Amino acid sequence: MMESLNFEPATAEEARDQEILRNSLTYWQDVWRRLKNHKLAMVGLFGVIFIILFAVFGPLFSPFSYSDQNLDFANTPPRLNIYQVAENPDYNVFLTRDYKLLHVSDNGTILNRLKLDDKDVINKKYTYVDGNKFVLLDFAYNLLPGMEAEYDYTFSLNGAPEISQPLQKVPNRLYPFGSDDLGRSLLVRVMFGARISLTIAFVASLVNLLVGVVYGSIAAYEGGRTDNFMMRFVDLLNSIPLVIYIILIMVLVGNRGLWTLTLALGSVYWVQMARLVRGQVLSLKEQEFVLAARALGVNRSHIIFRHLVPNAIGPIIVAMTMMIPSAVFTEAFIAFIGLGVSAPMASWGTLANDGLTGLLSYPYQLFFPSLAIAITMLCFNFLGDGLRDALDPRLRKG
Amino acid sequence: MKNYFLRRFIYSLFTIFLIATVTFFMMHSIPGGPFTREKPVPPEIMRALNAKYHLDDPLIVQYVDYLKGLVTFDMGPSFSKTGTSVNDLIKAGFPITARVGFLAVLLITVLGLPVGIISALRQNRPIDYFVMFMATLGVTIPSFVLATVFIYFFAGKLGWFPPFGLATPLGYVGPVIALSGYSLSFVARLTRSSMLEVLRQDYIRTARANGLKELSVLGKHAMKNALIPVVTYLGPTIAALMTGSFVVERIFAIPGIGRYFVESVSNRDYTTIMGVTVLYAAFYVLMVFLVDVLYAIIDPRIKFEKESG
Amino acid sequence: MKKPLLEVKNIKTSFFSHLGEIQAVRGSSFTLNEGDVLGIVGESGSGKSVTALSVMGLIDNPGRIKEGEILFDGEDLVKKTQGELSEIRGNEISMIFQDPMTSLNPVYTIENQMVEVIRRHNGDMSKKEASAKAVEMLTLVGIPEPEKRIKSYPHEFSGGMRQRVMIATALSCGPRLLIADEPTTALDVTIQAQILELMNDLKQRVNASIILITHDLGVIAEVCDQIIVMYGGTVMEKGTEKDIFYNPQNPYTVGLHQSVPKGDSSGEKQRLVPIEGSPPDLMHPPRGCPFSPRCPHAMKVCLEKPVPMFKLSETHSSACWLLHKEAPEVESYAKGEASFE
Repeated sequence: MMESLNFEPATAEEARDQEILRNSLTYWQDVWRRLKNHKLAMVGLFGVIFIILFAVFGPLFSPFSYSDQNLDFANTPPRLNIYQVAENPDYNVFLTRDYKLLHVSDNGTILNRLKLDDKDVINKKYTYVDGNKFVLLDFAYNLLPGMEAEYDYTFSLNGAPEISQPLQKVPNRLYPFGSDDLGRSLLVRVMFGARISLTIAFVASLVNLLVGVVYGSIAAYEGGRTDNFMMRFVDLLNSIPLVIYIILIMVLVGNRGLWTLTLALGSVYWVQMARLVRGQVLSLKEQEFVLAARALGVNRSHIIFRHLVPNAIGPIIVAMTMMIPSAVFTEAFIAFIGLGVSAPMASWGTLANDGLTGLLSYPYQLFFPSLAIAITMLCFNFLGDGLRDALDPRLRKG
Repeated sequence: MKNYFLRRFIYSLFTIFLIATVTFFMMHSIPGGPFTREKPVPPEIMRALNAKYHLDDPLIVQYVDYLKGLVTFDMGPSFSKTGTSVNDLIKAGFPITARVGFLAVLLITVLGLPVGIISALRQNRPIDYFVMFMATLGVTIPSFVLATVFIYFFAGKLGWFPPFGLATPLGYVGPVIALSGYSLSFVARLTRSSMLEVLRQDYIRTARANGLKELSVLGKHAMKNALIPVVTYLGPTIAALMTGSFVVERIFAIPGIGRYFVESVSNRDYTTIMGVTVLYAAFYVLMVFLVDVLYAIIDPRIKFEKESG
Repeated sequence: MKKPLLEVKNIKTSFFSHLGEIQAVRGSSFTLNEGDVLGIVGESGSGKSVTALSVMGLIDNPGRIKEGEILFDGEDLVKKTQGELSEIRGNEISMIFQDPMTSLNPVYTIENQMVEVIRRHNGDMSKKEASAKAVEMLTLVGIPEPEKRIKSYPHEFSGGMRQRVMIATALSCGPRLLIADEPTTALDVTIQAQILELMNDLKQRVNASIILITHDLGVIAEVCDQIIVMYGGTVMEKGTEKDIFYNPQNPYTVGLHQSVPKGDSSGEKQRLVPIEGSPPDLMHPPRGCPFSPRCPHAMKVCLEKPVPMFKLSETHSSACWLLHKEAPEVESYAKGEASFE
């Protein structure tokens, strides 16, 4: 050894410096730290928060309520293809698919509907009136034999030259998501739909959670014959197609209220949760801390709900996060086959169902509620996956 | 082993019986009979109708008659479609529903399993990300959305497929895709995670340590174990396909049993509701039973536990 | 002079996680002679299992052998492809694992699994012959009624029996090297003794060299010709059983001895001394000696400079700065010649 080596004893501090101390985190801090690192889970979390805010506060910013109708403005799409029939002052019109002519401002606010004055069906020429303005619509171009044009119809105001090309596409300011066949704002209806769908999903999941946790933990804690009997019943429920039973319950109860649907959903899906909780409690109840609690004379319900259930909370939370989207899903199905909440209330499922009839003409009426369902599902799924990873003790590294 | 299957089978029959009973009493406790309409029916007609359908018999007699009918596979007349029996409806609708359902199951198996396995073997590579992206989309999009998007684009805009009905083989494409979309995605995800879980197991390391070829390690040792959770999911898959059929048959205007069920629900056609419910339940219970059998064949531990317990 | 069968030269194996590189083995070297039994001792996380898996070529993603050579019969295993290695695994080199409960595939019979391995490495054998061979191996490891039990599934066996099946499978192709990674840790104490006895017995009967990995000094004492003590991914001390047990020259080895009950018959009261602190974080390993933060004799040099091996005798060497000529004298520690292997 040519270099000098320092053989002085090292101090305790120097020795300690060598060890990189891992700061100890509590269980939930650790879960949160891992959840934060999970990008998709954070996307899901913020998505869920956004959807809830959207449902709770969204309708407050809208001039319409979910049931305000305006038949004049029915079936307007989210983007309006406007034609400028006069300049200075500008006069823009938009033609709906059912030949209603609407007066639209430059920036896309629908102002009023023009009255249909004359309907010349044979020559395919309609005349509309707005005060002293007459708009002539000619849509014969591609319908009569021998005629072919680049455009489908033209407008002319008070006999001025025909306008065949649209000015531009503008977003519909009055109805950002368009309007439905009764002239209700689809945006507001989707926001209210979110309230209904989410309320049903949350409450149904909560009912499932309560019933499942109580049922599962009692079965597991009591064990023996009680457990056997209780689980036989769960097995039985599990071998029944549950959606059919929800439908039967809906038929039986007859009234299509929010709470009927919630209870119908809540009454059957706790089975899964009960099984999960039972499994968790069964493995936990053999552990020393439970034995210690029993030795100390702690009573049964206290042991179950203070010692056992909190220790099984991880998987329960994950199951709960996954249960909410599946409740949204099931509710949508039930609404879609005509058993949803009754009009004028509407969940996303009912909205989608309503949108189905006009699918080929007004696809946006189905698109927005479906999108809302899909985004909700996606966010809860992301969050649930992330939570599962974050809560999974097997992945927990010191 | 035979004992186990026999016990499971008897248990399944008992379940069907229970379902039939519950359905019967649920349907009969609905306030107002099946002929209660918004327009009041004259009392004498009501009486005649009730007599014709034995609705004036004591409930217990009706129940016994109903059970007798079930045993002889006679579900009684349809209340809303005069002249047709529930049996006729089932005979007409079931083959169609079954055909679409079978194709959906086929698609799920031949596509879902391999895709899930490939995704697991190429974990965190582009193909895995792509598959998982598609599968996540698949489980978040309800079948009615999938069906309508299909009709709008592929049938409407592009005109590649007929939008409604099953007149041509191409007509099956939309319904089968819409019906299987969710389960296909679910099975692909489940297969992937199950395969990844199995690949971490000690016995896979043992197989490699014993010098087995990778083909055998994956195709024999990993595969069979990875399939166990997937098989367990087959029961719920069938349930998902059934509920899916209500929606899909309605959208694509397919005269299957799901559509009759939805119609009977809105028409309050109680005999049809009961008949179809019992049929669905029986079919489902039978499938769960078959899944149990399959499960016991794949996993030797099951027989052992159940028989000793 | 015995011929070396396996020479591990300065092996470095790391796992790359998204949090950083975990340096599980940071340069370990040793030689195993033909017919010898080598014991590797160390606590969990010392790198002993990873060393064994490196020899087997079973380091999975995200792990990788970064450096070093593993010469088996003169051929470098590190350079071989997985295909080539699979010809060697189970044939020339076999391995048995810690937990027999999970190491056998639950959905296939013992016969199915053993026959597959035997036929993999003896292509010309028929199923019948392979099955007969499997029965013979099961008899050898002391499974009663092997013709009947071979048709069973793993869950029908007890833990000890499963480990016997694992050993039978591992030996079925007549390997030249058997690596046993904590073969008794997951078993009951009485079963542990039986399995060790079996291995000791088989050592004589099958002509294989053995690497026995354990955290239990007691297990290693009776069986091994040579012992390696590992800590923090490096080799701390190597020597014969006599060297390690009666003349330990590394504070870590001494600490290990003090923390294990001796159970000698002298009737003298023995105090167990735990080693304070916890093993190093292999993502941020100490610069110098990995044991220095916990070492009662730690010097400034220990914290700063990696330790070379100090050779004490033909068989015995140790990585500790105390053995340096200039280091202060500490009772019972000798001085040695530094050698960089």
